[in-house]
Parts: sequence; structure tokens; C-alpha cells
Amino acid sequence: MKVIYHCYGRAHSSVVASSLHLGKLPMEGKVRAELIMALPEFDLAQAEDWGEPYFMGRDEAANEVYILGLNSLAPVCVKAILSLAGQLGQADQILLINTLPEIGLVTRVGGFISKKLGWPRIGKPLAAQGIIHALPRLRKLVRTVKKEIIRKVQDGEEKDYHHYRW
Amino acid sequence: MAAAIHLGYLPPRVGTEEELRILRRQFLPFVQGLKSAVAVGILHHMGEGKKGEDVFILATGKKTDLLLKTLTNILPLLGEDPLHYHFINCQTYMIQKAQTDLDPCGWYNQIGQMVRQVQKGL
Repeated sequence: MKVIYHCYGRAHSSVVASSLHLGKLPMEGKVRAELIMALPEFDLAQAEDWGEPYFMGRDEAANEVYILGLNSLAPVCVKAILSLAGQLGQADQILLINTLPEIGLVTRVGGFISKKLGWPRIGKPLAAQGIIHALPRLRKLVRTVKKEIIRKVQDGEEKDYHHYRW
Repeated sequence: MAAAIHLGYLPPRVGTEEELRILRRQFLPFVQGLKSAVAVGILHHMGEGKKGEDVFILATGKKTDLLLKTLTNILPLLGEDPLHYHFINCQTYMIQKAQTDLDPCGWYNQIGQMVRQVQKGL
């Protein structure tokens, strides 16, 4: 299965959510801002990277995990991607997760300062600080995603079983 | 309308405004466009072309380029070769052409011309 965490610019919330998913960040306990900022993709993507899924790794169940920046077009793009997947008979093989609602104003302002104003020395630490505040929500999101993946896999196995039986 | 021409519901070229008016009055699939905002972002399968190609329409709303770029980049994740897909931004083509053509049926014939180019490239 392909798991795609998407946000505005795929530089902050989607990077952290995917890192939590892949075990690069802990799911429990405190995390320091330095650890967030040390993530290779954190605060890195530029506007020209929008619309390009970036492969972050495989999780423990071999699901491929990606991040994707969709600017302000998330509602339309997600509909179009799922519509395309549906036409190809693969709607159950792709999971798109919007990470943007899980972060607060601090990360957004930090991202704006870093990316729009071009001042990463100020914006990046601010965005990381905001992420620390948002971490409980991002962790909850990732837990929900992992449950959803298990449910989808079980559904798929049940379908295969019925197909085999009849 | 491009999809309707591609599939042969409509001719690729008209000679007069009257001919165009009559054609547009016919109850042809999707010739009136997608009315609802809900339809934006949803691929609609229109039919199969003469070379067996599947023809879809897609209302994109704003920032069409980003949407089409995203779809093109998602294709490999779905096990598809992007070279087998042609995303045609009709709006860009029409804007470019509208500046040069004064023929009253020109806009329609330009769509027809665009469709012919797409069909040749298949």
C-alpha cells in the first residue's frame, strides 16, 4: 500500500508525520527541536517540489510512505488522485492523509518566514517549535493511519478469501 | 466538447455559425460541460476512441498545472507509465489560440484542431 502524507509545502507537518510513521521520531516522550530540525527533509522542499511525491521509506509492514505538497489545492488534488486510482481499480491501495489540520499557527508562521520570506534561520526553528506543540496531534494521526492500514489490509484479505471460496 | 469531438459525437470542424448553433442544440453527452462544483477533481470516463484509447474529462478549477503535474507524478505509484497518459489542458490551448483567430467559429475549430493533434500523437 502507498501511504501519502500531504500538506501545503511538504516541508514541515508531512515530514514529521511520515518520520513518526517510519520510526525516525519516537511515538512517545518528549522530543527536542534539534531532533526535528535534523530530519533531512525538514524545511527543505521548495515550490517547484509541489505535486511531486517524495519517497520517505517503507514501514514495518512494507508499506511505501511518501510526502506530498499540494499548495492550497489539497481538496481538488486528493479527489483527482483518488478518482484516478479508482479508475485504475486501485482505490484501496492508496491512502492520502492531510497533516495540515494537525499543526498550529506557530508552524505556519515559521514556514511562511522560512519559505515565503526566505529567512530559514528564523523560520526553521520557529516551525520546529510549533511542531513540538503539535506532536501529540500528529502522533494521534499516525496511530489512526496505522489502524486504518490494518483495517484496509484485513478487508482486502477478506475479499480475497471470499473470491477464493466462491 | 474536446472529448465529444475526440469520440466522434461532434465533427472536428464546422463551416458556419448556423451549423455550430444546430450542433450545440443536440443532446450530446457532456457538451454543456460539468455544472456542479462537486465535479471538480473527479475524472469522468467519456468513452473509447478509435485506437482503443480511453477518453476522460476533468474539471480542474484553479491552478490546473499543479493538479496535472500531481496526477502525472502519481501514476508511477499506481503502477502506470506516465507516457501512456496525455493530460491536455484545453484552457491553455484556447487562450493561446484566441489571441490570433478572428473567425466566429474559430474557437470551435481550434478545439477540433487541438483534438486532431492529440489523436495524431497517440
